[in-house]
Amino acid sequence: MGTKCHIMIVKNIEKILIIEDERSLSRALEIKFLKAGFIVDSVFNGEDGIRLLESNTYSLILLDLVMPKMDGFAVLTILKAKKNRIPVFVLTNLNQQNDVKRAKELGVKDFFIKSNTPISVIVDRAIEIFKK
Amino acid sequence: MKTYKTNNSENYDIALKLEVLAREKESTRRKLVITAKELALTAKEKEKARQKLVIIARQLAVAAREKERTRRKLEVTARALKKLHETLEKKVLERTEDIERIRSKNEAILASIGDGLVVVDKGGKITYLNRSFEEMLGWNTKEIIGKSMVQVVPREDQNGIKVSFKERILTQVLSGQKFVADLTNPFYYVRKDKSRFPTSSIVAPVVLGGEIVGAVEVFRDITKEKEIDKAKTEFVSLASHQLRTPLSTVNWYSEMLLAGDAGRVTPNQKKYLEEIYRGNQRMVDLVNTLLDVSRIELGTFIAESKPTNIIELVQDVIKEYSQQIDKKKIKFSSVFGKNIPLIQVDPKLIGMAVQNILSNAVKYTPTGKKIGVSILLDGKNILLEISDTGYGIPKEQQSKIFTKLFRADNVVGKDTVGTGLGLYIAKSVLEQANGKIWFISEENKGTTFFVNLPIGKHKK
Repeated sequence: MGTKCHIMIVKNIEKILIIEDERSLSRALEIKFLKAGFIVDSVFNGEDGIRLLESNTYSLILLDLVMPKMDGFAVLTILKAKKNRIPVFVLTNLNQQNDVKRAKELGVKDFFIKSNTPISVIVDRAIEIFKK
Repeated sequence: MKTYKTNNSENYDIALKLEVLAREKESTRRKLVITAKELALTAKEKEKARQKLVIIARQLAVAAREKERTRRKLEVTARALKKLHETLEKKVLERTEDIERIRSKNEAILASIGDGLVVVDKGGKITYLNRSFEEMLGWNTKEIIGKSMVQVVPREDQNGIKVSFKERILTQVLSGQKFVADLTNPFYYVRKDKSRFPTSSIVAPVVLGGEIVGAVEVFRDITKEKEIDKAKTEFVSLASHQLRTPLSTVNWYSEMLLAGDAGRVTPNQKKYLEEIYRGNQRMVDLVNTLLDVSRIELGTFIAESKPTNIIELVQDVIKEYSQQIDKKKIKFSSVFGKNIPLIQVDPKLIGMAVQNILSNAVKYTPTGKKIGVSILLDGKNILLEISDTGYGIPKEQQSKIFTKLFRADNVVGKDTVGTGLGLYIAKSVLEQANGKIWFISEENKGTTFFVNLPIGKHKK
């Protein structure tokens, strides 16, 4: 449900999972990451994200925090419990220090405030990770 | 005749005698006539006198009647006066009772005012306090009457730092300051049991014959107001977060359009898109500022202090504005003292304060004028000075300059981007770091802001 699959033959065949309930933002990320050559799956809540994570392998998770059904913190808690090793970028508009702190404690690789971050910066940061 | 004479010599003699007698008789008669006339005259006078006497007697009778009347009148007046006196006495008694009643009523009113009320003498000793004072602070009259208000009831700021004797508004009012209301800075009164409550108070001097003989302080527990204020701040915070999502959408899509993700854009389209992007960016900045303010007010800013090189921090901020400084052809100078130690502060927060002060200097200094920044050691503190030769702050508005959303009249027309939040944020942040901020300014000559930061430990 609400799952899309795009496959492109390019240099980066890393698979990315976008968990973001705001459709317009999710689509923008999809477009940008597809352009950069990633394979992208998008879901609109945490529950669907966890479900996909059980049956798929991803190289990177882009995770929103405020979402219906299951929010980002719940997803992070489950991932931590499962000893997840996939890097997670939190993309949120919450920037209370305790939110940042809590997310980092739950093993987040990077934390972006969406309104303050150009989308290209997020893509660049992802590419940077896979270069290493 | 001689014969007659001879013969009648005797007769002659007799005749003579008779003549004499007649003459005498005549004389006597005349005398009698005169006497009769005199008598008649006397009788007339006597009559006149009698008549006068009658008149006098009448007059006397009238006078006597008059006197009697007057006497009667006096008697009446005396009675009336006596009555009046009695009435007066009664009235005085009544009035005295009235006054007593009013006095007790006034006292009852004072005692039952919902706000705390305390009256002190010239020396700051408590001479009266009302029931609300007792209830709010946990002291009763007997315990503290005659004692120093400032000593018995400590006042603290938000961070629990005790306000010194000299800085207490009561002390300031007693030393001759006209009138002080402290409604903007929240402070707390500490109860007898050491717990505290937020309060706002107004202190006014009691002046008698041109001399300050004491002061009256009225204070209120503003816990409820603070709660409402908190709700408002939380709302601003929530609304700002909600605003960020559509702002992100506009940001990202205009960025993608500019990057040619949806196909090539013409130079004109690019210009328009850049306008959209910039406009949106300004909205993002505004939302970020509002969030900073709400965080300051909610106290959710957690200062993460670490040893910080203040010179580097300030230089980084200057770098952010170097483009604008160049563009306005501002003559920029900086002086950094030697051996400035690291200070224990949160670099992000202090950076934010410095940024707000410097951005004002850049914004409100016309093209070609000067801005100077200096950092010097001042005893156990760091003194940062940011001066400009810009528009300055009108004298009558200087007291409001740190107030939230306040913008001075002389710059409102010159720059539309200001929010009136920058200096409020700077002050809040610096005070949280135990620092101080103040300024001197003259309209059309310029402004210098001073920031004092202790080298020692950062609180909270």
